[in-house]
Amino acid sequence: MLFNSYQFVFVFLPVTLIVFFLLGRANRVWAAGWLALASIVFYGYWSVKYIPLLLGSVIFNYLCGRALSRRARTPRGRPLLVAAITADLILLGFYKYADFFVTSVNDIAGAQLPTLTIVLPIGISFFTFTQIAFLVDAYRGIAREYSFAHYLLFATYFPHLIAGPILHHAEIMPQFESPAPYRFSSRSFAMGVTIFTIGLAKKVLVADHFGFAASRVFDAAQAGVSIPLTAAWVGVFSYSFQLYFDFSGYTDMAIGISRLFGVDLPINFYSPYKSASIIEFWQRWHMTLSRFLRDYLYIPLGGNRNGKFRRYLNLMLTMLLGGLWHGANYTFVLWGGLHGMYLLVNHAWRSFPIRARNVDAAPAIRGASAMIASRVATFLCVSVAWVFFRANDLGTAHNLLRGMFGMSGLTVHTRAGATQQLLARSLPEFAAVFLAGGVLVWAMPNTRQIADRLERALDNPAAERFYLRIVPATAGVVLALAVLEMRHISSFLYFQF
Amino acid sequence: MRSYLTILAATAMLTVVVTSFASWILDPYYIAHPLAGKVFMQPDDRAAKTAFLAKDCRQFDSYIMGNSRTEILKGSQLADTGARFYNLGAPLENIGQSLAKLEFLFRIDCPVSALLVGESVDVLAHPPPDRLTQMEHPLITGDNPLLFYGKYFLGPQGAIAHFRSKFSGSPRLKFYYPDGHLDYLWEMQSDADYANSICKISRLSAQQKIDLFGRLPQYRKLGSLAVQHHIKVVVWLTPLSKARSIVLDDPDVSRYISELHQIAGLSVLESDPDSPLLSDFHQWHDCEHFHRAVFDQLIAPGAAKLLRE
Repeated sequence: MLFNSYQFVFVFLPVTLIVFFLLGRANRVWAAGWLALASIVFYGYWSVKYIPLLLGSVIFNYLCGRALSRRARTPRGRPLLVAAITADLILLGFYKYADFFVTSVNDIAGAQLPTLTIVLPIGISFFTFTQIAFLVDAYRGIAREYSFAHYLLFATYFPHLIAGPILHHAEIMPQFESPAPYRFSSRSFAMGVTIFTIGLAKKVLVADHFGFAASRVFDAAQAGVSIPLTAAWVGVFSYSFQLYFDFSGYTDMAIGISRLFGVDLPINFYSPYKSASIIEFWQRWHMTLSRFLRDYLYIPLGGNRNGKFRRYLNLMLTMLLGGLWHGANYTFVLWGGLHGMYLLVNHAWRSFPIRARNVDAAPAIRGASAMIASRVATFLCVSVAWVFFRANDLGTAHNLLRGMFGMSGLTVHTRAGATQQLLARSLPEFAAVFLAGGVLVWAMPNTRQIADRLERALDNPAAERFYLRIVPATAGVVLALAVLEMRHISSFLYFQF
Repeated sequence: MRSYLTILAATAMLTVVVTSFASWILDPYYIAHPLAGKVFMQPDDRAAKTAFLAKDCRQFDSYIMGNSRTEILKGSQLADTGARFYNLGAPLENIGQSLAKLEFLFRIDCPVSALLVGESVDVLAHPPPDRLTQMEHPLITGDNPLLFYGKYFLGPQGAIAHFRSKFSGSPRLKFYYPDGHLDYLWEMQSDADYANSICKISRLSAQQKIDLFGRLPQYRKLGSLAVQHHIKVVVWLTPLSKARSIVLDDPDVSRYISELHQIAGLSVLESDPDSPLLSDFHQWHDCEHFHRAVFDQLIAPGAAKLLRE
């Protein structure tokens, strides 16, 4: 069930909310149990056969977590931690990487091993990572022992179950244990509806429109068509916008839905395309994954504690594995590797002494023009990397990169109108669409900034009358347009991971 | 806080009402307004023509059916047959959809004495069922009318499509007439080499051939209905330009055509494959759509003769 479907918006969500708050009046454990049950139904809507897998994973990790809490930081706990994480990774590896492994062996060794054609259980990457973090923290003595009902709800909570944000137990479990979420709050409801509206609009009013051009160009590249320069860049920029609006839209919807239940989820995006460097980009893009990779991979690998070389090596390993987490394909590994390279260059640049002196000596350079140039350069680097992320195979990526760098024709083929034919829309139309997307990305506040401003206004309604009229009026218009646009069923890009 | 939610809900509802009203007024798909005159974007011919006939079909007794290639035919081209034709053609129309229309005409007691059905062996695409330019009217499908009209009028999609077509400067303009036929207001490039290069198609795939032969049972049903209701049915193979005639060289396609000839109740007409009109791109609007003159010269005499018999 998609967040942007009529079944979800008009049936599942209202029923779940009403029953949750009715039960919450009587008994909080029942309400939590109901929410967990609704979450399992939500998951089962995708595929009933994977419910036992989800529940098995939850029960296994809960029991291991409890055992680890009692053996926190003891020699007896470490083998258990290693065993539990290994079991989680084997499960994830089997479903996500088994066929990739077989294909790679066949390619390298010329073997003829049969592939298993396994269907990836939706959300497995997310609920596995969420629970690995819990296990590690249980061993570290950071995670408390929680009731099974709350743990089940933490792991299966439907707003985040399919595509994140990747939750940390410490920021969610205390909320489930407190009485606040179980009482209906019109303030939380207003905030939730507003944030959900922003997310829904990002998805159905913006992302899906960019997806049209992106799909045409990438599909053509995969079919071996030579992609002219303009069409290649239009396709890649379209994908850059599509992915951002799609994934951040999904996250906003998840945060908004959760807020309806009175539960705050962590933010996952903070205007990533406003970043002036790749380092900053990763502080703003898919923030909960970056946090997980930093806390549970990069730092355990040694982080920046053992000199520059080890730091860069750890960084590269983290990015390669982060890339592989996204999917079983060399394109994702290359995407991660490319970002690893970007980060190395960025860190090296920051530590370059001449540059450091120049920055200190000439602050004017760091003015608006330098900022714009940095943002443009960062966006271009990120967009080039998205080619690997989006392409289904290396051949497609190579074909498209050739087009982007003018090796498949610099100009538009005037006679057949190759570019227009490929994109099925005129370039002025794309210019208008990019302008609108650019304004949203670079000139507008992000969802968190809007939400914070709204919270402040709600704290002081007497002084913010105008704001508290204009925001809901705008949200109402946008919500109506987005809900009407939901007739076109469209999945989220990150569901494949 | 309540006022916040009230304002939000009220503006949402107002937006639905205003945008729906705009879509209904502008109606670029011609669902609520008669389909006539110059149109700037592809309307839903199917639904518009069905709605038109549902109001009054007594002024016609014969029908032209088929895909967009047949839509240019006007009844006056066959005036000497005495038949009063309405052009029911629609983009990507197939024989199954034409049969459904015939049954609809029977249901609403429209007189039907002759049918001129265009058959294109090279057009095997299936339009997406929910494309607003190609949806069938609920009077034919039996679908819920509210859902049907909701797709066009509940929300801004009609208004958006209208303004997009106005500002995109679409070169594919059409002019519709009250008897259902239309004029294509665009022309093929005159350069024959260029036309040949872009119009070339490959032979039918195995799946396309399965789809093609899948039409035969429908034609047999049409033949039996023709016999049962004493309707003259002429099936004519839409002419293909030389660049696309490779499809006709396929022995399977020849077998399909010969099986079509054998169906009782149907008269099948083929055009002269050696006609110079087929390689003269001045006679074509684009790779697929021939000028009305091509029909007049290659098909009309034979069709008129068969209809008069």
